[in-house]
Amino acid sequence: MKYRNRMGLSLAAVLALTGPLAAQTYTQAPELEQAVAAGTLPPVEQRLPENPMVVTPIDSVGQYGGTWRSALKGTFDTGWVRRTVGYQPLVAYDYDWTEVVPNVAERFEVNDTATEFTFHLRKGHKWSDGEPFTADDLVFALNLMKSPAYGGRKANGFKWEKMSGEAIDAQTFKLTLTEPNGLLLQRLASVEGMFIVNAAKHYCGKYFPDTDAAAIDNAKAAGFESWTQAVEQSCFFNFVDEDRPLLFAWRQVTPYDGLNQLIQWERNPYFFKVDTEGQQLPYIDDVQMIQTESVEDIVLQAVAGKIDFSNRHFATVANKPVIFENQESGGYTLTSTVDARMNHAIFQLNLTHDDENKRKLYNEKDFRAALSLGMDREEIIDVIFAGQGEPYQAAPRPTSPFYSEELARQFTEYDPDRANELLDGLGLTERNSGGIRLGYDGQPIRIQLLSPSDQSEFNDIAQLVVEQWKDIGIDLDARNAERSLVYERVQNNSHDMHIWWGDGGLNDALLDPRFYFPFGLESAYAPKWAQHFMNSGSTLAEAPPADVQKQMDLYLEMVGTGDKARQQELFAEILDIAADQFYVIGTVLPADGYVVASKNLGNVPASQIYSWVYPQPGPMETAQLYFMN
Amino acid sequence: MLTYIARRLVTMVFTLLALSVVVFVVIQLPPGDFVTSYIATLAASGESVDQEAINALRDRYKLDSPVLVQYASWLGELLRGNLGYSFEMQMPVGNIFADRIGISLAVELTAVVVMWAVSIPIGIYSAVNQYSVGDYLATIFGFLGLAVPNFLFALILMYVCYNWFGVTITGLFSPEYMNARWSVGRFLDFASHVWAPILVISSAGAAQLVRVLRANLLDELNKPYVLTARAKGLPRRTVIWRYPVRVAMNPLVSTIGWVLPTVISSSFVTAIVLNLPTLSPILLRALLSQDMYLAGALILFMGLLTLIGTLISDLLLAWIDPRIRLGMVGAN
Repeated sequence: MKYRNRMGLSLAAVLALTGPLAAQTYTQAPELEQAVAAGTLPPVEQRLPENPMVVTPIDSVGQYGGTWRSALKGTFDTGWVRRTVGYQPLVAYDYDWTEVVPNVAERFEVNDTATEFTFHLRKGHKWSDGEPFTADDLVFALNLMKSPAYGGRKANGFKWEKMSGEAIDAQTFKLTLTEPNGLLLQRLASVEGMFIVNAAKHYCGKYFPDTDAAAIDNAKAAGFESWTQAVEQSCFFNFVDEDRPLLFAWRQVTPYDGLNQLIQWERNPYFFKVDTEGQQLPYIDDVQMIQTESVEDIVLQAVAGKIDFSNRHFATVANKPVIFENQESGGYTLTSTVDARMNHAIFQLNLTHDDENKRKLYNEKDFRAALSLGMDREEIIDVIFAGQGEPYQAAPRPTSPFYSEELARQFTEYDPDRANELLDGLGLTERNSGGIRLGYDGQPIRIQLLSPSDQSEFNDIAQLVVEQWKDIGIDLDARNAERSLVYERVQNNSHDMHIWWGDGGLNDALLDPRFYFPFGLESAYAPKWAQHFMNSGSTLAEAPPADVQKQMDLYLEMVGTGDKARQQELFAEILDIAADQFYVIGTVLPADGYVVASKNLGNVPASQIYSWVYPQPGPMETAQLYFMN
Repeated sequence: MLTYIARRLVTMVFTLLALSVVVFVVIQLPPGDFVTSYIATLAASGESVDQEAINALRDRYKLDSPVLVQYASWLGELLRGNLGYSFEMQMPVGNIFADRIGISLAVELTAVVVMWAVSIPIGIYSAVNQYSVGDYLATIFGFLGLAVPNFLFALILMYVCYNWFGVTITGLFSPEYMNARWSVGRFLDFASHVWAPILVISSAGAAQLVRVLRANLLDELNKPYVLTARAKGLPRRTVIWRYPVRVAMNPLVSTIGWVLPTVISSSFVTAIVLNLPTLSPILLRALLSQDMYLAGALILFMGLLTLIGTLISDLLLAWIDPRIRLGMVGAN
């Protein structure tokens, strides 16, 4: 008797010691508790994977309850869904955007040559409908995207024909590349990389002819025109189909199809993350997004305290005073974002212009330098950005590891005299009666700039520059135009100049170096060279000069190496050449942005990077947001 | 009379056909197509699209075939009752109509009814009591209503309601009723929201009707037959309602034809400012993104409303005014 008692005691002691490691007990939201008690839901241990991911809260462990409200604009605003509830990729960016960390995958290995990537999934991980999530689902998603017959929207930045995936066992997924790609993990962690864990084979399989012979009929029966459309709408980046199984913290209740105005999400009882006390996430019960038609309406909702956590569409410099002023009455506070963009507006002369005279002129570095020196950036900052920001070229931000003083600051001082000297030095000394210099063809130098009318700041900036450039004898003809016209012109290479945001100020520079060399369709300063680099088979493609080609080669070399230090070295070389080339003319480095967050909301990050590739606020782990009372 | 209606119906068909050509061409006129505007939209939110994906999209929507081919296949489908497919919303145009038409017509027809119900009594009052305090008030508000654009009025109303009463008046339903089935609660919620758009949409039209009715009635009131009727001992009220008002209504009735489309197009911007779940925001989105089948169907629908309105107004005119009716018979 005595002996047995002792035995019992020590066993209990052992259990108590090893408990948190071996047999962690998990708790769940009250509503799920009830469902389990009623027998409609399996217990929490069976819903969580064997090894759930433990999230360490930003501030404190939270409590269950509440609804997170925000707004969407129009039909195409899936971006906000992907940023908030949707960011549950295979591997994720960490909060500081310094490295790639496990997420859906428990761990991963990469071989030395960056050609083999092995991902280990969590045993017992389930989709939001309770079906098991396995390596087969990843193979399926990859094969779907790879399929040449799939005509829908594909994830950007992947070379499909060079990727193949296999399921080693139910929890092991191996991705093999035919050529090295040192940036693949970055891509998978980016907003585009989520595709690989977005398509449930048991659900989407019925729409893919390779896995189901009746796919076309199934798609038609579900009301789609083709299987491609069925896949596009209900498997990847659209949220039209509310029945689709997901791995997100919340699962969809009502569709986002452009008609339905209230897009609702409820807690996913199978979500794979817990907090440090073993409470299953998310804390917040429901997510509610209201589809609106105008930004003014969103501002009004924010000011009235009807938005709990968002910066989508309304958080502009122009709206800041009204949002700031109403913090008290609206019951919210403002937290800040660090814009990953490095410029408010970049003026891009078309270096591959079809007109020989213009091309010759625009390709003179002194010409571009003169335009830059003739730009009074302080005036732009004072007039348009309320004194916030600093003069800046198209260059990585000061906080970026790639920051280069020369690239960032060259020709940013306002010096019309030197600008005039440079232009005179190019032989552009003749002027017409209006004081405009004559170009190589004897005609006044007139640069046409169409700025997209829905980005009103571009036109405001351009109008100031029109006056400033008059002083150096250049006629900038800046007009507002419908944005599709602007894009049509750029795509056909029929523009003199283009103006756009400076994307690529932080780590996104590696993945999308559009302003550092002609990289993609958004490199509007040299569409022909960019087409050459993309190897798109377009008739526009044209081989670039040696220096530009060198950058392209360096980039390909960088992608081909798995060594991070070497990548940085190579990218620095690319930037050196970019500084020397001085392709585009930057204006102003954006100051910090802001986010509206309800006063009651806990675990709100004080300052987060804002970018598309790193889809703020996603990487903070939105499942840990909670309402304090 | 029957042959007259039949003849009108046949002309309507041809007018619609002509309209469909114009609509289709106008939607195609701006440079680019749905795919370009789609890319532009994505770029605005920081996304970008591969060249490969662009080609696939063009191919899928058959945007590279000649305009004539595109038009012919659209018309063919229209005749078979298929309104086409919306690129942007990825669903049949018919479904979009079905979802939104009820609420659109409810809001817009209510606005028309309110407009008439308010403007007719006021118009008559201010004509009969010309230069009275009431007439001056009606005139002041009338000109204000005419002069202030709808969307501005909506913005002012939003500001006033939020700033002074703490109420946001956008939308037609509170979030908790957005996806609910119709019930007493939902109807009350709807009623508590719908007054704002109706007030805004009907204001300009009502002001205009008041001015028209007042001017017409003033012309009639001074005519000898009114004096004669009064001299013969008919009470003033009876005289006014039975004779001059009926004559003064003529121009009002003939405007029915454009009342429907005007209300719809004036509610266009209002609906966007006030974020109403009607067809108007969808039409704007469709036009901006060059979603041609959706936009085409919506514009054609507005054209059809105009034609029906004109027909109704002609028939009504014949009914209330014997002179027109007799003239028609004489022509036959």
